[in-house]
Amino acid sequence: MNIQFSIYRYHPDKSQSPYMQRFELANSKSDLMLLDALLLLKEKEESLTFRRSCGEGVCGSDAMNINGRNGLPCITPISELTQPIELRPLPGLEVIRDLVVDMRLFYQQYRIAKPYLIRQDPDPEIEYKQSPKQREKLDGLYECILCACCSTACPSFWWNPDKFLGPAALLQSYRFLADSRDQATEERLAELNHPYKVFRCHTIMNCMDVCPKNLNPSKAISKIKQLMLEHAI
Amino acid sequence: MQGLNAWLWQRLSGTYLAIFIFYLVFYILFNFPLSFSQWLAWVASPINRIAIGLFFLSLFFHAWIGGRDVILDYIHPPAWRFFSLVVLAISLLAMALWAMQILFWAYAVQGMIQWQ
Repeated sequence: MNIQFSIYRYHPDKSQSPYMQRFELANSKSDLMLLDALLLLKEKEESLTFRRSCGEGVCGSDAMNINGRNGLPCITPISELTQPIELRPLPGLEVIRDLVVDMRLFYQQYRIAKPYLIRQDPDPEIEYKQSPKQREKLDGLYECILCACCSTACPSFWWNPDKFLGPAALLQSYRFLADSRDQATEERLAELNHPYKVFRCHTIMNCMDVCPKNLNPSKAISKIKQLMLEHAI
Repeated sequence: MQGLNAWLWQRLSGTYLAIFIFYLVFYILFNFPLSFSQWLAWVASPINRIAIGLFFLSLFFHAWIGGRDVILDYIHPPAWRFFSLVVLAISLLAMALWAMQILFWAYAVQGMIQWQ
């Protein structure tokens, strides 16, 4: 099987505008994942740059735009893609080189969401206790791998990446609002009640459409709004 | 008004707009064809006057929050943002005054007809 690619190339030191380059991988197996094919391609074209690590959809470092849709090449079978496979960097963030983007804005928003337990009470001697029911509330929230597929598919994040938290960070915001062990609900909600942080979300739902872990940030965001409303009344 | 309040009022005014439009469409459908004097009497009746007044209030309020959201999303340079917000506010206010003028006119005409 021959695999055709059209890949976004950009090298800042060569002061050349970005361009799309054609590649072909001849006589390859047909049951490859896209990342495997990219690694084979890199053996031939060493300058081709992309991030990857675990190769099985757990680390989230290889996120890119595949045929116009954000996803993880490590869990995308070649057989499901129309050719030539068009690969571009995640949209909305600055490109460092080829398929590698600058994730600083994304992490900055993640930091603003305070993704850790905040306690007023002293820490328990042994462990935090949580009933199975309380733990269940975190399902669909804790699984996020921070690949940035959702935030970089979100038009609201494209427009205001410096002020709007974006779906990934907001999913984490809700993950800690929903956690029975966290004691900063009021403070978290007060910080989020802001013209940009949450309320730039217009329920476009690209986030849940592209999430490679099948999570639903849209739903988490509406739960945040609901919680805010309950606390305001 | 911003954050949760703006979001909440956007939904409340939107709900009222939807309810009023249903009410209006059903009134027109059930009284079809409507003569001008019938329509005038409907518009000038006290309950409908309040309902229509509230409709326009909700409409302009809804448009202000929605228009402001669009400006916040797309227009980033402060001077341009300020200019577009002013244009939006002035045009909405002008339309609100115009709507009020029409409603008062309808009320006055209805009063004159009754007086005759």
